Amino acid sequence: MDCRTALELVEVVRPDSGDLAESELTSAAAHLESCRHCAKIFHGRKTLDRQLGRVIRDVPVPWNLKTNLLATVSDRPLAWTCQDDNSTSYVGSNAEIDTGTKSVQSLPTSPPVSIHCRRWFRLTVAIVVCLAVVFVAWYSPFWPESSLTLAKLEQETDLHLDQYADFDGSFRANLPSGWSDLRSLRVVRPKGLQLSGSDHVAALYGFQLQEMRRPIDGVLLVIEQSRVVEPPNIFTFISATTRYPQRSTAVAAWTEGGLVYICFVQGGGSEIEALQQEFAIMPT
Amino acid sequence: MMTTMDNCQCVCNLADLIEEHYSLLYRYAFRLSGSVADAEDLTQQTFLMAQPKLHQLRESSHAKAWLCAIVRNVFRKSLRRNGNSTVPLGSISEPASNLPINSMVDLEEIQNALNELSEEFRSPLILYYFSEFSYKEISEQLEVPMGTVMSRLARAKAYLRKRLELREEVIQEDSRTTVGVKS
Repeated sequence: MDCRTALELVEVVRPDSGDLAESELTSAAAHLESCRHCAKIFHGRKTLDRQLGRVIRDVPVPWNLKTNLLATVSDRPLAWTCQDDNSTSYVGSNAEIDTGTKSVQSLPTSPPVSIHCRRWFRLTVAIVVCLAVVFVAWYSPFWPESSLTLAKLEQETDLHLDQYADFDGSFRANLPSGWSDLRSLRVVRPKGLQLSGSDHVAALYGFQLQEMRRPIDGVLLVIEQSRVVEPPNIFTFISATTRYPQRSTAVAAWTEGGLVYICFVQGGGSEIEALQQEFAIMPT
Repeated sequence: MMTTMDNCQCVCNLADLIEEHYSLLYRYAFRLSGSVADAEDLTQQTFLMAQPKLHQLRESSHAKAWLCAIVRNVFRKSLRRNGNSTVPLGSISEPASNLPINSMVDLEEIQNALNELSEEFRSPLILYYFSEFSYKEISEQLEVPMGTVMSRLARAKAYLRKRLELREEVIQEDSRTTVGVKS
């Protein structure tokens, strides 16, 4: 097999896959073993593929997208969801779906849904919504401070810390384990986040990770666990899941030692991953 | 006789589908469209279009491919409506050399390069890099033979490499010029 044919064949081999072991590719794989030039090109392409794959997959998902989607589909009249008869052609969007889902078209049709179901469902939803509105309106003035949610805290936190006063020390806002020991991490004196009342409900530490190609800036919010509704079930920073509440800001939250930490990093997923990596490789 | 719960099963399933697949669909839509607003619209339209057809989906294992196919079809429809500016790949041949292994991949540059590809090349390329589907699944989604998927993929990858390689050359050229000015 010549080099050109071999390279064409292995072009579609996915990195870190077993594609090369496929029977169609065995001759190309054998060529790669004997030809150093092609092997080098193949290796280079695989490396580039990995880089491209990583970048292409790394798309920050808007934090409220799921909520919006769920709200949109629930707002939609139920007639769009349930059907009165066995007909599968309902809305004018068939063309869009049919063109790309031939395999799905062959799936058997499920039993029809009665109109009574829709009415019953609408009535139930309406009652539940009304009760929820009454409950919220009645009880909201009496909610304790522990009604703070992560979303609320994220929303209230501004990453420009200059506007905040120094933290009043209303609780022991310790740094998470390891944060004081990491030499490349510079943490400044905390500021205080005041939402209602006179006390600071949270401490805000500005930080900068140096020793990178470019420094990574961020803010670490610290709050008592008892004040947070549904504190995160993650207990270390390095295992915290990254979210993107705003564009160009990545957020990871975790619970540790009776405190909830929310780490805001300017940039995207790669920046916060780099920071997590620093802690992951830090000697204990 | 059917129960009320049976009747309303489709609604519950849609919430499950959103829960499970909205992230993938959004990322796919974003890479197809290159815009946050368009990606959000595409994702939303996809679920709205899936909603009345949900009863057709008996196996949840098909849901991901089905939803991705809808995303693509909605996107194609929007392209037809708005027109597009893509480059034909007929003239793309193998690049003479390869990118340096350690070259940094620039996100914006990649998205620009993806946007330049026509949809028939862009879709398989994104699905390939997402590593979510086998070639068979991609070919079923795109409704083309597997050989066509691989051929489109090879050409799209070659274009991407060539495009990024050109950028590398421009950067190197710029740095040489800059050095020349300074000295």
